[in-house]
Amino acid sequence: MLRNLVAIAFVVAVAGATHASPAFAQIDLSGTYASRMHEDWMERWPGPDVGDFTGLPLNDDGRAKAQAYSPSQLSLPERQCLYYGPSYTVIGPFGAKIWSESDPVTGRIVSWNLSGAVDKTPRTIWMDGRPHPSPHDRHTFGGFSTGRWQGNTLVVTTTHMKATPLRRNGVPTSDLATMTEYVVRHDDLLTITAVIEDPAYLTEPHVISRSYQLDPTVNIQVFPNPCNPVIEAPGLAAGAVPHFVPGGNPFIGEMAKRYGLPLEVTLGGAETLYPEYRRKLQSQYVRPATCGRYCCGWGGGNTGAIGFGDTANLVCTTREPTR
Amino acid sequence: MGIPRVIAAFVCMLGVSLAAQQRPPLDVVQVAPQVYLLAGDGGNIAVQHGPDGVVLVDSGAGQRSDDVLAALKPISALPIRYILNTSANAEHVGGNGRLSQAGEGLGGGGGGGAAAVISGVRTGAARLAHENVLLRMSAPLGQKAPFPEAAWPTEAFIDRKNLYLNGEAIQILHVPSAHSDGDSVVFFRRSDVIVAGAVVDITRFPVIEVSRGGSIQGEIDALNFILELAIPPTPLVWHPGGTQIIPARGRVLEHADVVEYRDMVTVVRDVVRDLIEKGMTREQIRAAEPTRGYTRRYGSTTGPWTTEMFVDAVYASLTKGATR
Repeated sequence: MLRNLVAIAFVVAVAGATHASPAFAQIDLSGTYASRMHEDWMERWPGPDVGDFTGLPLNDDGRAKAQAYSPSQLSLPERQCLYYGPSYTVIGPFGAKIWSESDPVTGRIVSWNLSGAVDKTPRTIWMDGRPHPSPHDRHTFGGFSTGRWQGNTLVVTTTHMKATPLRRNGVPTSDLATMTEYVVRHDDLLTITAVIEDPAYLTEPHVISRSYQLDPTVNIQVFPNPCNPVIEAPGLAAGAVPHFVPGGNPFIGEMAKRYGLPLEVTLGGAETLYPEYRRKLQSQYVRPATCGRYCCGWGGGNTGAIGFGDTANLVCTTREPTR
Repeated sequence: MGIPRVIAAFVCMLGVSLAAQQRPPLDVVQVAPQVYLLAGDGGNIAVQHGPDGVVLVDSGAGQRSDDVLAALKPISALPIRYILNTSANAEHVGGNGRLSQAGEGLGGGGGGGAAAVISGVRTGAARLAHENVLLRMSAPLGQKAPFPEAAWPTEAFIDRKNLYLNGEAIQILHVPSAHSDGDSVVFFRRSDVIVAGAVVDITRFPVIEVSRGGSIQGEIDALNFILELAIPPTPLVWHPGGTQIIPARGRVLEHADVVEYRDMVTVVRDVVRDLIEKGMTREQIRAAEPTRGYTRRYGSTTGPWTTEMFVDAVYASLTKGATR
């Protein structure tokens, strides 16, 4: 009798644990998705202006490091093959292939996996309850991610990321950064909302969202291209690290001039994120006489080729302000 | 012993026991099949093991040497044969005496050598370091040494020392005038692990002891030397790996992480040099915050190595009139 009771209790406990486990997917995320470029397309596709730190809650260190950045750093052999980390790839223009790996015995989903691309590494989101590694363990370009279901939302926590750009014009994140993503699938649309925290460079969390659309026609590569560094800048002195000393970056004011903005707006900071700042800005904004570029929406009518999705056949014919 | 004394002794023992229980366990991270990182007693300790016994790189601060010995037991049942010191920093040599005593030197060589074999006296693990480490830890006859003799290196070398233990080549390579004049990096060639010692401390700006022969240029040279030794996982960069690097403190690093650290040190050097060339005094340079861009990540206003001390060290080494 006692043995039976113990057996029943064991079965109930196992069933309860299984039922409560978040490892079974509430939503099937699998598929190939094209990135929808409705948000921040200038930053994501052609690339941000030099000195465009708008919309970022940078602290003084983050701003200083971004202002010191020289794109020639990318020519250093030791930097040519560095990939983007997850805190950038969620921002960038990449599409995504998503698939799961299951335990062959139980059928439970062990991980969700996100493809890599030209210069980002594939990511594994562990769903089997494993802990994050020790603080003394290595950081990787994919970071270490664990997931749990919150209703039909997959909540992903990522740690152990390497230092990586937050924006392609030198805005940094540090290796202390962590990221929480909320992944929601609604019919054929997928939305990832990311909350990036970085005690080294941000004064408050940076929150962004990105939209993707199921599109089996796009060609998403699962693994990045192999990379071999070469000598790109033979004139660079051995041991030199290209950068600007404080106050020495001549390009920082370009964006402010182009768009008729006060310089301080382009330098970011938490204050500039909020609607109240618009009122402060209104009296200082001088609308440019003509539109210099990006006047016709994302891509200027170009079509993406590697999972970025089409552009609704936009054709850019005007160079006048579009608003 | 009266009852009050017994109670006092019990309370005291209980307090010691509770204190021991409250200490977080040492963090043990496997870096390669034969190499581990032990963190939690001052500087990081690297452990290489195999059929010949245990080789330690550095011995921590010596505050928790018994915990270190306990952490080694699941890794290897064999004794510690060598302690390789990367500098004379107290965080790296503090456990030399206790850990060496707990080990057993190899016959015919370090740790007692032939005399020990002949006499049958059991000797501790050998302690090996650059000769300047020995000079920093010891003192001329009649003067008080900063460290007890039991902690001093038993073997010293000048430029480099090679060992072959546990089935792999081990190179101990002197990097001149970096953190100090006695720094070495240790390269486990088959495991593909570099122990960087005080040259890389991912938790703070690099400690540069100018009064002990350290310099900003030597530090940068040492970082570039490590980057030459280390191999990133090209061409298949998405594979985590390549050479693993154990810093003085903090997490395990890879080539890309050292690039980030090297760039930081080089940029700060350039900024301070620019301010010197503009005629600024040390105080003006301090006020200009030349570490901006990195202060929150690596800086500190308190503790044994502040941001100001780092800036002063950079300034001092750049104004000495020599590159080193």
